[in-house]
Amino acid sequence: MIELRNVTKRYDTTVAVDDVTLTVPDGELTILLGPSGCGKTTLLRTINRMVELDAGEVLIDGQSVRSTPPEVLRRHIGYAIQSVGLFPHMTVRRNIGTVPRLLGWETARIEARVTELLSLVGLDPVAYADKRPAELSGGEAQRIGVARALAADPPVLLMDEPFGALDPINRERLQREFASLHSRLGKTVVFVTHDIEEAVLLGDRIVLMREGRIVQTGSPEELWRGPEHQFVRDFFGDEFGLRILSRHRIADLKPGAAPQGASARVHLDTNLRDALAIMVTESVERVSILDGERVVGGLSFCDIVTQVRESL
Amino acid sequence: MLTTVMGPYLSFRPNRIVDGLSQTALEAFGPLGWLALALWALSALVALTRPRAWTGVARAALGSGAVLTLLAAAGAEAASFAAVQGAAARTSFGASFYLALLAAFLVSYSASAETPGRRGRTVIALFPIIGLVALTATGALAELGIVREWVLTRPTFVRELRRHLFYALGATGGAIALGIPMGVLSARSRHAETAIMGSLNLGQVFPALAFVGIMMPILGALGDRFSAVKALGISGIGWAPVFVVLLVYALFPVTRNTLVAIRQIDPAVLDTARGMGMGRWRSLFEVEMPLAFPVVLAGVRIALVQSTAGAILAAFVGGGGLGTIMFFGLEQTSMDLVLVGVLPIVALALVFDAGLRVVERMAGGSEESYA
Repeated sequence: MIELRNVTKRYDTTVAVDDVTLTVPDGELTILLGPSGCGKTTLLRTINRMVELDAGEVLIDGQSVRSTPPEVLRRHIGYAIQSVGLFPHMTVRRNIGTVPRLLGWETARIEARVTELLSLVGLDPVAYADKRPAELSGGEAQRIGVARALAADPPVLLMDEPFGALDPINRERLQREFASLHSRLGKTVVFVTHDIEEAVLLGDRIVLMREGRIVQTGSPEELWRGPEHQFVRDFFGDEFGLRILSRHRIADLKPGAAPQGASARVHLDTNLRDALAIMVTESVERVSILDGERVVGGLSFCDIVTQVRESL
Repeated sequence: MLTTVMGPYLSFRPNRIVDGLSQTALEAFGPLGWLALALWALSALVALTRPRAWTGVARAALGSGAVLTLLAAAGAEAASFAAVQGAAARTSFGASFYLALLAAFLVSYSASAETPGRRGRTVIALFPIIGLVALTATGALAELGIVREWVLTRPTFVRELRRHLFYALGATGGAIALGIPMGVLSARSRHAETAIMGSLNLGQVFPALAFVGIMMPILGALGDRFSAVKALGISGIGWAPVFVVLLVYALFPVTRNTLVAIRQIDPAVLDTARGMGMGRWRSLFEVEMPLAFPVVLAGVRIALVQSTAGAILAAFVGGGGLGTIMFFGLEQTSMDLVLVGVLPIVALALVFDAGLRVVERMAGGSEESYA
């Protein structure tokens, strides 16, 4: 668990982070979201002491980050940033092995870990371990960046717009892969972004910030259902509901009766936004739900709209 | 091209002092001169044809061949002149020979540029070297003025060469030892940069000889005041002032390139190095220095070449070096002797330059030098 208590950071006359208090629960993916200049990156960097505080304190598992020398602290916190920052003069293998090397692991153990991590991020270890960063595509480099951040198996991962520099197709693919990676590994992740879609897709919780302060904290659904501030409504905009739909699958809803006769079909794993898109495309108000090849029920346009608001 | 065979090519003098008799290559050598001219013409002919893989090498071979032919012929003429006139005879090259040399260089250079692939270029560079070595080895050049002077000065030559190398390598070594830390410091702090680069810039502005002049009383006073300093051989004259001046000059490219190299590293790379838990020193040695290395090396190369040429200064203040031989030559109006001093300096500079360029390329650096 990461606790930020009354954290304040000033630069000359501007206040980048203004008296922020926030708790990041273990195993959750917490998004720091807001327009540029809202202080989200600064706040992230106070956690691994890349930014030193002017006031307040940061605790990890009850212990102040100030009680550990910054270099030692950082070796136990994963760190990935938008421009990746792979070391151009080192092979992929050495890049990924950086923190384990700093921690003094044995060569064989590092080697095994590198292989494991490359597979984890979906790259062939044999083909990639000896490449140089200049030989990688943007998406590959970012995968390596994530693998490098995970190298020493840190309980906490800090990510600053890690997918921000990628083209839309690669970005979405990596987002989905990262979402499933996170649900498997159960790391505590603090993730900075200004991309609303990314925040709603990935976040267990969203911390919406403006001008160095937190506006509202909660799950995407909570923010959608109960915005406490006009800024929340304005920031997420009219598409917020649609984006919420993409977080949930047909299987999350209670199915109704299957429609009679021939109809459009959707699978249990389909997300609600896609299901809605199918209804619009096929001009139907009701679709059949498939589990494998078997029809297990039906779902109407109204089911989606009402159930999403009330029960998710 | 024609001037190379029609102009004054060799001058024959019974001894160093008196004026000699100038001859053109054709007068002097007859058939060999015509052969050289024919080789030139062929080389020009090849240059007019459409460039193909082999044309560059062929042109360079013909051009080098022409000059080597002239050289061999000159050696033979010198030998026969010496047989008549005795040991004091001097056969020196005239303006046309140097023109021929320049022409051959230009031909080789342009031939090298149009030759694809490294192997072809290496072959082109080897023509003159192999030819020269072969001619020297067979003793064909032994009676030429420049060779005679070299033989006569050989004992001093070795000593002065050694001193010259001491200046060049010593100043560069010192510049590496001091300049790299100074560059790193400048990259880390704006204050340090202002102070360090400011004073090094000032050092660059001083004319070298004036600078030596300033150092002389300073070092002299130091030597008089402290016996330990004196014991090191540091005083107002001799090697010390020159060494200090060369060092200051050499510091500039090394320090500046180190600074530039570190500054141009992607900030994201430095940020992740820090963010993953590298301390300042680790980041410096594992990330910054390896990434800066090719550019720093380019700075070292510039410093070395510059110091090699600059060490001539030492001759002005009794510090020795190849410049001493050059000045002897000037005093005695013997161009041959001047060349005995100057040619090795040029050769050294070229060898250092080429050698370090090879290392740079292996280190993955670009060809830019930031000089």
